[in-house]
Amino acid sequence: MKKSLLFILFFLHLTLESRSQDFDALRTISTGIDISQIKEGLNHGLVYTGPLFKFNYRRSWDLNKHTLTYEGRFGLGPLSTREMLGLNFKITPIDLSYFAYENRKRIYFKAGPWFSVDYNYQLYPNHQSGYSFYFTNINLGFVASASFENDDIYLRIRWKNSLLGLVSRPPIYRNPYFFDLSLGTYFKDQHRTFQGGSFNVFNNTQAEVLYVNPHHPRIGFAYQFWYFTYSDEPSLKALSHGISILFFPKT
Amino acid sequence: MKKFFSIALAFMLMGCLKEEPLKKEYTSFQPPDIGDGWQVGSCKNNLVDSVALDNIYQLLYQDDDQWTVKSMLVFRNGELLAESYLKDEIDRTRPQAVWSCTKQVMGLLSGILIDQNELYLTNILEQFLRTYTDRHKEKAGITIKQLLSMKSGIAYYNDEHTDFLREKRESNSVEFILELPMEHPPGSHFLYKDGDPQLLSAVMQEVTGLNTDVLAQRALFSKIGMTNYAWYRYQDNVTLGAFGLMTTPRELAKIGQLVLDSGAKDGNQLISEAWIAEMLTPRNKLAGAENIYFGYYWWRNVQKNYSFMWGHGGQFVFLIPDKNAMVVFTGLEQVEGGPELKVEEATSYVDRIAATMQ
Repeated sequence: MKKSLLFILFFLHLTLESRSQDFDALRTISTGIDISQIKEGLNHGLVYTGPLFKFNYRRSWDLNKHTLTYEGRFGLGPLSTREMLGLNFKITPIDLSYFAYENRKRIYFKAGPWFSVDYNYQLYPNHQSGYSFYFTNINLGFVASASFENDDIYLRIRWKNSLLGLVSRPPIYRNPYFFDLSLGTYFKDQHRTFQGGSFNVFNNTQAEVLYVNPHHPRIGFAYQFWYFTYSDEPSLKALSHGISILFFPKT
Repeated sequence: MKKFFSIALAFMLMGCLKEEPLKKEYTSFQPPDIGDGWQVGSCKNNLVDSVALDNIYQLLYQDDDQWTVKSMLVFRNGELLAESYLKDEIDRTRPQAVWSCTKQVMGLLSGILIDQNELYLTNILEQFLRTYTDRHKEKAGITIKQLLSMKSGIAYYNDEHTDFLREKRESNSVEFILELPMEHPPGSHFLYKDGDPQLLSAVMQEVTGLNTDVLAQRALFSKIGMTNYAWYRYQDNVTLGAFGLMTTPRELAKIGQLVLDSGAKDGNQLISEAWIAEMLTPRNKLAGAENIYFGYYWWRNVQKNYSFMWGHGGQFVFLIPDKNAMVVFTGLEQVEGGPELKVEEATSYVDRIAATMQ
């Protein structure tokens, strides 16, 4: 974590003299790939790793010193560990950020509340037979963003962190003989046994570093980081690092 | 741009989740007496080389390929000599799925009913399941012997059909199995499958008027002191015949010991020696495996003279009659395919353990 902060400070230093420009007030479509890792407490300490192919839609509305940003994400990919395969499915239908900011300068900061609903669904057919695993997170937190630009570079660092919310996890089962993979059960399960809490129960951290060459303002690149922990039983840790290409269509 | 990607790559390399140790530290194989009916014995008194046995336990703990093994227990002369739980000590007393080891219990229950002349190998399905066979007449003549030797001829494939039952997609397990087409004439073709034991379970319930799990409790488990178990029924109230039993390694060993003792327990002949011998008689060779044959739901390595129970996920009870010994393995219940303890690997460990015995 310390190293991450050092990198962020390094970026800030590099761009201190830049001019300001906002790529937030744009419609963005992006696609990319994450390297995802999931340490599911019911998997005996195994860490499943694999690529997650993801698609993201982002739309912002600039409202005079306020910005409302909506994001929707979808990702799908295989997981594996010790010659066993899994499936990783992630959907974020709602991710809302509301920023307030001062007048834009060469470098400017924004911050505000963040609300998101995350569904994460995994299958481990070689290891967990027919059982599905999931974690749903309804989360209220904060978002902070720093942006800067010069003639050759536009950079934006964004940090989101949960403060409180709800998490749903599968029960610890004792009967491995029967299972139910029907879609209805899947949908129902993901919305029950919610546990409320804050850092004592879960943490959801997302960070993004966006790079745009102002000479080619229709395309950007982003590094994205996600770390989720759930500390009750069955415990969970999920981590991903990813790179995305962003398209800024003409508006 | 290059700088951006370099830094992004640095971020990606910086953080990753680490796998936890998949086994606890090995300390000793000495079993405690927990009052479950097993007498704890010493290696010395039972002529077992304890140093060599300890080395085998250490080897198992160091064998990274065998990360799914949960327990290994060694018995000789009716005494528990060694045990170790590689994941968690609670596995000593917490029941787990033993999958197809359930079939071997079905083999014993069949013997009990046959000994009592309540069931005959020549009985046919029509005598017990007429309401079904009237609709599926081509299955009416399937015999108990054919069910016990997996030769019903019904086109039931575990990979395809067992999940229908496990997902409870069918309301009636017997109807579901009997609805499947006939692939071979009964008695002509061996196909290891979960359908035949399920039909046998339904037959037993018709014969006795009891659920198969209740029959097992009264006629078998209570007689051998097996109390720590659960046995699941399908939603049509037929006890699962091919899988469905949950129990502990020590309790599973009580079933193995009964067979090792030719059906006798404390001087009482619970199952006839004749049935035990017939049940273990190798009849059908397992395709792709050398020297492994199937009897009446029991497996046998004819080269080494081991009879064994075998369940999905690496559940084994090996009987070594030449040494009056037994080795039990349990593994993670939900592992399929690659990582589970395979029969050849388990046999290799049993060979080494047998070699420690005079």
